[in-house]
Amino acid sequence: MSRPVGRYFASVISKIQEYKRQENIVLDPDLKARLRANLIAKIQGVAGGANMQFAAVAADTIAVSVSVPKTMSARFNPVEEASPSLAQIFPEEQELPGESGPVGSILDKEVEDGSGLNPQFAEVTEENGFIESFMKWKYQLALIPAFLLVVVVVLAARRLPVDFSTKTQEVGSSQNQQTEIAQTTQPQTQAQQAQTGLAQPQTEAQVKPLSQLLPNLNQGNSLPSQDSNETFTQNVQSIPSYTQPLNTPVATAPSQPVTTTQNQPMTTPRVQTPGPEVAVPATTGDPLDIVKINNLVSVKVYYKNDFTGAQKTLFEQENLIPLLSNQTVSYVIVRDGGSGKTIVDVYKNGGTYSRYNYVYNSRLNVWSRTGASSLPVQQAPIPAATTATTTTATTTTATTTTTAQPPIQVAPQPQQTFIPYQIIQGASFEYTLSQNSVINYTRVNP
Amino acid sequence: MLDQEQKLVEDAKLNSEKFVLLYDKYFDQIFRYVYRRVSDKDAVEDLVSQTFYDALAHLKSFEWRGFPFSSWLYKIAHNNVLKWYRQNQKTQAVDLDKVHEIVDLQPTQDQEAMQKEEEHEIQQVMQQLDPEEREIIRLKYFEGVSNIEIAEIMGLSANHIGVKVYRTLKKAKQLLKT
Repeated sequence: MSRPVGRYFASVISKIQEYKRQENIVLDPDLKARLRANLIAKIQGVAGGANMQFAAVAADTIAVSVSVPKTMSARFNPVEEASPSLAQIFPEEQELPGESGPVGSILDKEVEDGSGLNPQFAEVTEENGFIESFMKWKYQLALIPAFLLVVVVVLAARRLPVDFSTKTQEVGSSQNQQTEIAQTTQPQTQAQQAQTGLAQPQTEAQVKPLSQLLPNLNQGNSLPSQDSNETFTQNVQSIPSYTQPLNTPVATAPSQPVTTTQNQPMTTPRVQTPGPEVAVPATTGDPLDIVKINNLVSVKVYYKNDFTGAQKTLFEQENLIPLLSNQTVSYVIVRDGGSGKTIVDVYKNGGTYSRYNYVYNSRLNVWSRTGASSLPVQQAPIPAATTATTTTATTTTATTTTTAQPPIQVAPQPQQTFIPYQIIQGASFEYTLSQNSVINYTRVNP
Repeated sequence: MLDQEQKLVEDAKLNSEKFVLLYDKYFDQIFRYVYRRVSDKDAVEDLVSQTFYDALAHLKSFEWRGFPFSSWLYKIAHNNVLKWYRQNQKTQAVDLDKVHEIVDLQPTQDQEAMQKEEEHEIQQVMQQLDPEEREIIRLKYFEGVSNIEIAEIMGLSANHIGVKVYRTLKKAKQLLKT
């Protein structure tokens, strides 16, 4: 058929080919090199025995928790969305069961005779069905003695007159001794803590998030017993604390126990310490990278394509609010690994807020907005105290605890230029997200 | 040629780092293929990277059947592009729209005018083809893929592709005449 087609359609084909010759698609060598570097990084990142599919999770998972690295959480979270199956990649395969393509055939073969586990079997299968069946039976028969051996060993172990009780007792006694030692030392430790001002719950607060997170990690990126709304509410409650101008970091305020944070998983790390070192650069794979405010009223939230390294705009709002010099706007970005939503809440001094819901497609690195862009007026999370004049901006810093403690006023520190969500006329800010979605802020143009 | 390619694939299966060689070999092809189909530059970047990443993640399930490895990559890219369009709810952009912008030629004014006219003709014809027909033309005459490989990529039979090619060219010829 090809020759007649070639002759009859020579004019069409020549025109298409002429067109193809004229096109000059410019390949960006930088792009190629960048993608190559990312690919190598991915390969090396999972070379330590991890499954490649988990790497996909690591690349795509939006921050699940606060204190566990993403790669770790990814390994504990075999999310189906982020580790696409072959059927997901090749949707047409399902629609066309009779297809003879390589992937479809692999799937068929694996399902039918299980030879997908061993490619050598696949070759044998095609050539000789008898050999294939013999090999399969041979391997299956070989399993029977092994199974019997295991049964015999188990039965024998049950009948052996080994006195495990003494050893158990020894272990138990040593444990008891340790317990006793611990009990005797515990009061002393508590007393020391009381003297040094470090309350016991603070130690628990450091330990508990991990213990809380581990069971949650097995539940598929779900935050501990909270949906996004609850998380949002807690963020609202906590906003006043980090919009209040304080002068000391939390670390220097030992009298404030942080026990209340134990029941509020999203708020446990809600501590902002001043200083340039606080502006933690976004971790690799963090889709929400920077929140930037230019000319007082424009907001951009970027996310980073983990694979290509390219930055794109997730959320953009220009001419947001005509701010006065002493007004405050807060942006709280909540990333809920359970629902897969990323919520950008915008607070204004007057009490209005807007909420933007985004869902991240991990396969295509695409964000789509799902929620309402504007919600009715609600109680402003920012108290009147936060509208303090910004002329003293260089002396104010933010701190966040969930308890409504009055701010501790300390002598001004002129070298600090960090302002908690205070918008100053003529200044622009660059906000960087920390791992727990709380915005750390850096004043870019003083 | 295919033997060398097969060896590359087998090596990459055993050692993931060898996959970079496959990437080097096929990046340009896949980039051009996606670029012709998607007008958004960022999306092209994403889709190309996603294609190679998917290939890497599922390389062990790839079985060599005598087709070039690029067919498999084309297939992944094809599906990714389809998903992207589905996701973005966009009508498929005419892939040849931007070609004249990046053509680096210095013809005379008459030649340029004639070329523009021809380009315009081809563009119009391509616009009037069905998406499937357009895809077949793209693969066959722009990517230089054989009918059997197109069948593999699109999940159709080779005979069906042959018939489709014939009908598409016939349709294109009629459209060019009118």
